[in-house]
Amino acid sequence: MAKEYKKIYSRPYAIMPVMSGYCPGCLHSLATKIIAEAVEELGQQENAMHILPVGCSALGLLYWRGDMVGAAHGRAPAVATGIKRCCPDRLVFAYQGDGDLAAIGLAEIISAANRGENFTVIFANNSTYGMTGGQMAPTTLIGQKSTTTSEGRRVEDAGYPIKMAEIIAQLEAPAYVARFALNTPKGVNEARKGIKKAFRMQLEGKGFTFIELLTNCPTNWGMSPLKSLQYMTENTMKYFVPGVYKDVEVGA
Amino acid sequence: MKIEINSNLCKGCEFCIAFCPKKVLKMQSERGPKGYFIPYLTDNDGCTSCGICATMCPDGAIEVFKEVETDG
Ligand SMILES: Cc1ncc(C[n+]2csc(CCOP(=O)(O)OP(=O)(O)O)c2C)c(N)n1
Ligand code: SF4
Ligand code: SF4
Ligand code: SF4
Ligand SMILES: [Mg+2]
Repeated sequence: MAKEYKKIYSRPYAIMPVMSGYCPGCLHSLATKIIAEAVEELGQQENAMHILPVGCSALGLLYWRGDMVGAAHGRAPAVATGIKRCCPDRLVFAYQGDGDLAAIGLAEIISAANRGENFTVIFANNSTYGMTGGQMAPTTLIGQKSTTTSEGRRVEDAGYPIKMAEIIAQLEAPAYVARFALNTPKGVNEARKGIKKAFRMQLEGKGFTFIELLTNCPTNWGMSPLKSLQYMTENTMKYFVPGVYKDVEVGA
Repeated sequence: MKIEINSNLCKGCEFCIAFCPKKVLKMQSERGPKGYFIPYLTDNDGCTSCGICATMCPDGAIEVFKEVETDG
């Protein structure tokens, strides 16, 4: 009996076979890969419309294969609203960082979610302004050091890290709101499933879907990639607890 | 081999090495074409083609193969 090798996995079609612009071990890169896998599994390569933010989170533009539109800082949900209303059959998703979504773009995300716009927002929360060199973000943890909180974030000065998934889930309109962490194989597989579900619900016209992905920034956190994954388990995930926060398909 | 790592895509983050349940991945001692250290499979028979390394690879640098029997 002869033996041969059959390929059972290779990178998804929607990311081109070139090196990404992200730092080694950056989970933006892993997030982009699983979004591409979800798009591919749903056969939506030609139909997907990717709205880019400002930040490292926009570096997907260097290797994403498909239609993209770049929005001004924080305005991706407004751009997505316009595109989805004009092209309701397209699979529209915005990929936004925490500075982009939870600071400068807070009004846009809350308003789009509150209107129940029929698109998906994927929110990459790495607790920092990665691209500009690691300043404090609204999601920086208490005690976490950044270039603007050199002794660690203090509640007295900066308040508490903002829990976007919980806030969006409190609104009446959103259809699906969940948070996943990308620092373990289990978390990655659950996140891919969650993204796929959000995309399917959008294609079925079920309304606004929101996926928060806990990610890292080894470069600005000043850690090796592996250490940053451990930091997430020990710190990030204790405050930003993964889970499904709203799902209109459950008990419906 | 049951896995292939594209040395033009890999950035040497070590996630695949850390998460491989069979511990059959190791870093090469020489740098690859882009200046990063690239892992290699130390034991092809020990690899179960589980794909966990590929799941965790941020850069989609890993392809996974399964050994199948063919007639002839
Ligand atoms: C209107 C405007 N204000 C400020 C900036 C500078 N700026 C670029 S990226 C960024 C922060 C991005 O942080 P985040 O959204 O968390 O993305 P990350 O880089 O962490 O992925 C800022 C403030 C800008 N480009 N435009
Ligand atoms: S600076 Fe941080 S967020 Fe930006 S690519 Fe590097 S690791 Fe990723
Ligand atoms: S396929 Fe599984 S056993 Fe083989 S190298 Fe990858 S993680 Fe290890
Ligand atoms: S996980 Fe991917 S990028 Fe990281 S060392 Fe392994 S093959 Fe290279
Ligand atoms: Mg950020």
